[in-house]
Amino acid sequence: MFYACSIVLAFCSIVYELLLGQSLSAFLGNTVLRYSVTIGLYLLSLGIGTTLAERSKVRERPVIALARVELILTLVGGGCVAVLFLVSFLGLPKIVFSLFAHFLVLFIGVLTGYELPLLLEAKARSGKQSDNALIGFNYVGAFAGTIAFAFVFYPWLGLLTSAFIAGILNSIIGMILALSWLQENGQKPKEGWLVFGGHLVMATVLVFCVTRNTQILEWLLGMYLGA
Amino acid sequence: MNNKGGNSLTFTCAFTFVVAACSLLYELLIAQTVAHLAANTVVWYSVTIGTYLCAMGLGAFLANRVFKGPSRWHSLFTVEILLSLAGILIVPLIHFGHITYSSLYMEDVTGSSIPAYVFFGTAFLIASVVGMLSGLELPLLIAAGKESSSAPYTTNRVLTADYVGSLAAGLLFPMVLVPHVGLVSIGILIATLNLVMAGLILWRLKKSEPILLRGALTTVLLGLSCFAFANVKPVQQFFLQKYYYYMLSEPGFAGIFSRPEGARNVERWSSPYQKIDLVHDDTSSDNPAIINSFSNKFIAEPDFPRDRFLFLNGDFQFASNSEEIYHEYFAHLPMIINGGVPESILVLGGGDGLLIRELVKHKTVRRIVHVDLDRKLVELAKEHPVLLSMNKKALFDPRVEEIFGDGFTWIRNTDQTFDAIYIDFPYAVDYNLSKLYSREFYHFVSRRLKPNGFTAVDTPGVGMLSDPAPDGTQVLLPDNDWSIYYHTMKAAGFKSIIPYVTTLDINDPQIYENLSPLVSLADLPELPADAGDPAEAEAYFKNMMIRDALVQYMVSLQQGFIYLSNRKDVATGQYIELPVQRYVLNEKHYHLAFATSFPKGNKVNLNKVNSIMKPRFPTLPLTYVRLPF
Repeated sequence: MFYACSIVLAFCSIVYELLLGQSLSAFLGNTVLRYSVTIGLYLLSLGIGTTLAERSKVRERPVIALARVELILTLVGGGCVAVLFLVSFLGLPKIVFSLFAHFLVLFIGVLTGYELPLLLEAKARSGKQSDNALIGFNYVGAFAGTIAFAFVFYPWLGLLTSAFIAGILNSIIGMILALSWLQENGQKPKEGWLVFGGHLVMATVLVFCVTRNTQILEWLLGMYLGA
Repeated sequence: MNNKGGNSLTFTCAFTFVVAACSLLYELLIAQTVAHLAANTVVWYSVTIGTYLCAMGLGAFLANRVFKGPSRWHSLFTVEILLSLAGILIVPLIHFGHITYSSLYMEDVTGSSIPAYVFFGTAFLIASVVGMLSGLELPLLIAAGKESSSAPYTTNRVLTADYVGSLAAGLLFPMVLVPHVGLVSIGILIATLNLVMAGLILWRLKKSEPILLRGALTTVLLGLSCFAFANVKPVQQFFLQKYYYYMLSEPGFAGIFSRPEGARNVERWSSPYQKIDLVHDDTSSDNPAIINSFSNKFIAEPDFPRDRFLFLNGDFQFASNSEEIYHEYFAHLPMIINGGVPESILVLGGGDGLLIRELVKHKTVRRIVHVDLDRKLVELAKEHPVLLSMNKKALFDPRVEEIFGDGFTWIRNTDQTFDAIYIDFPYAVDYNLSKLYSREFYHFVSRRLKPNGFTAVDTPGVGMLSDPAPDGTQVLLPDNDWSIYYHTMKAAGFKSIIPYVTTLDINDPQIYENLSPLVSLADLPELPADAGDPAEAEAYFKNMMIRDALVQYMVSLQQGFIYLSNRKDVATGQYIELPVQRYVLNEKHYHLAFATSFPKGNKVNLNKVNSIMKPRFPTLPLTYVRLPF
């Protein structure tokens, strides 16, 4: 299970980052610059996230902590393109838009940075060894994400729907994590059910968004073009 | 923590910072080189980066298994030396991959994708090797950091240095290196940095270890990279000539490494946005007699530059021998459809000034706003003697107002409106350019038109037509992009969408009369004995040959444009004479431009709409590899 989590979570995160990089390039131009900066910032924020995770108390309850991290990540990642679009209508100066978008890159990166230490910790607590494979699967997930983004997500699904679908994947992992935590910790069901419920609600909303993606896109575009 | 340990950790972190930057720079360098030769920039950027990250993961995984020696620094020394060797070779090797591709492509008549796989295979092999070598570094550095200091968070400090180094590289590469340094030189620069790091390792180890051999190796390699850096020009020129004059290379394996014979130097300029190449290829096979059949430009202007070709990022822009066909149809024909000459004009793109040369011919034009992204290209158009003699210093016309900026952003934010908007962008070979052909972009364009205004768009791909049938009709080829343009422009709200093509009059008897004496009797097939009147048969075959040559010439130049207007009632029936000098466009050619029928639908098909949210361009296959011919 941890391997699957490692792959899917890395996959989702790199897809979010590439979506943000591409949105930035779509709104502000200069692809090479946007991609280079996005990847540099992503790596930096992964580092920050990892550091924070190693110092913080969340490591004491890694599985539920990870499920919570995924809750925020689903919300921010799944909605990042739509929010970026909405912000671009406000007619704010370019610099504000650019700062906001890079903040999103950083934020998603930091949250993603939490994932690997928590997964490693969870794996260690479950009594199994060899964490190298977990890191390896993380890289495989990232690789799969870049391929999927370039060949499937952007050209076939578009920016908006891609973000929704990555969000759904993310919340499925969140639900699995929450359930497995509940299974092990029968004594504190409330928190586990809350996290599970949160993921369920978000997954439902995102599935609804996917089915209505044309209408949402037309609505967003109408605002963008009308401005 | 003792003082020495602190210093050592600082050294480890500084070292990590530099090598992390080098690593990301290599990654971006490979991605940029591949994307530059392959088009579909975003796709190949993502895939290269993914491959590289994967290989780094593998390297990190292997690091502690491969290197079991007593000192991490010795292992790191080996890695740095190997990386520097790889670094110098990255760009040349990818180019040789592309040259091999050209060679296979030329010899392969089946049109399979195998040559492309050879090119991408080379690139990804390089990305994997360099990625793996880079991946070895971090675990070794973390271990070295732990050896030098027992402080808590040692690992985190090294990691932080690694991440900050990556960020620095992410900024340095697009902002400083790409605009100012050629790709081959960037490889050498990074390799030199790796070597300096190797030297630093030796310097720190000097008291405890015999370093003579390693020191000598580092010095020799440093000297080599300095030598390579100083002599990078001929190398760059070699790859440029291989790209633009591949046809002149010897056939077969030897052709991969030999310099194309008789090739002139390619002039190259780099800007933050593109590589500008001016090629002078007088080995091209355009027959002057056929060129003169449709245009008397070289008779009226014998000094007009011949055989010059402009390429942006390796993609063809214009040929000096025939550019007037393209630019006259682009500039004047929409004015005829619209029924008059506009007063205020916006030109987006077209930094070479040739389109503006046509526009400033109109005395009644009062103002031309020219928005181009690339200052460098516009400066060249105002300084380079060859370009100046082609654009007739049009960019110095007092009516022309230069603005440097992104066309998309500019048109979105401006509140000015125009009688005419001319859109002259490079072919949408990647998502970056796709944006300039998007529904969102055309929407803003339509809002900036005055009520009776029009837009003229250079639409690459619309001119993809079959050879003319005996009655002269042409049909759309399967890879014609017309339907994407049509639905995108319709979704953007344009009421009249009128495509037209630079269809030349290949049945003009005058041309046959002029060319007939030039056809050698030796080229004619043996006339059958029962052919009837031999003179008549000879004339028939001569005409067939001339027609074939004219068709070939016309189809190779055929270019599609689209006229757009917010009015519903625009028709193309009426021809009006414009009072400016032209070489090609006349009443007959005006009507021929609409001869091909383009299918239109009543409803917008959202699946065919090119949007920044969901691009339909580029329509090139993903394995497309750039070739200039």
